[in-house]
Amino acid sequence: MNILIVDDSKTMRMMIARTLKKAGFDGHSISQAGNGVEALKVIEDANPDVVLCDWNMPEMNGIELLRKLREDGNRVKFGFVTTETTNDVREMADELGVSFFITKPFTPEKFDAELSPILV
Amino acid sequence: MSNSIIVSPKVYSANHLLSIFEEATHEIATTALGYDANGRLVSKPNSSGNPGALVALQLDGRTFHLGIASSDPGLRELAAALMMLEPDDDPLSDDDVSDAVGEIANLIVGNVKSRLCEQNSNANVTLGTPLRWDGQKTPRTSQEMVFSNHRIGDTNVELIVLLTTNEES
Repeated sequence: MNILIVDDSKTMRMMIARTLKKAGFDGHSISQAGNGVEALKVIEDANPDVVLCDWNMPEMNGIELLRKLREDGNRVKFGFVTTETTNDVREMADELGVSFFITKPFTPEKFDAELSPILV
Repeated sequence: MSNSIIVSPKVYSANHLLSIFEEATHEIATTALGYDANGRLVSKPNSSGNPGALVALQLDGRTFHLGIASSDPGLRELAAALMMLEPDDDPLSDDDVSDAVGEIANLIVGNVKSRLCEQNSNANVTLGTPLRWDGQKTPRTSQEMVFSNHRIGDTNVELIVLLTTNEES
């Protein structure tokens, strides 16, 4: 399986990758992107199985990336890892078929609970 | 989240935002940084002018910037706590420290947004991405600045709220 992590913070990308390993997902390949525009290129090249994406990013934010993917007919499994937790944010993402929400700060247990059903 | 009942004002002041910011900081200090929640230091004669990170928060048409600042060793300590570094790990580069402190600010201000929306489900709140804060002791003419000092673990931290009072300047 190929997991794409999209976050404008290098620190956060490292923390997510480390937490994935702690959650037991250490056998998967991980690619990274710093914003939605970079992510589109990586998705085209690497065709990931799941995208873990921040919400607030420069250039193209997370919801704009998800919307672009769906408009293009790409149904990749897509989840947000974000500090954004309000109902309006979740509703917006749900309408575009988001698979899960993981709230920052996160734990390995949260990743396990959300990703285990997907990364089988 | 706090269980205290807070009556949300119609127009938020910088001081009201600061009190919410303080509660959010103590929650993130315990959940994301692994510190005890008992650290509070409330002597605040002046702003230190220390560096750190800011996140913009637009609330019902008003622009706030919420920031966290500390000495260089203090910022390094906070970054190491966020990244759960072990004593044997390589030291962080300056860019990594800056990035990590920005992410800490992002976590705290995200928590502030949640609290504001809990208080008032109709609140219109949007967040920016973290910005580097080079330190500033006094507000500019178009700003109101309030701050308070706290202790997170062994680190003295300053919480700053800037309210832009004249959007056109």
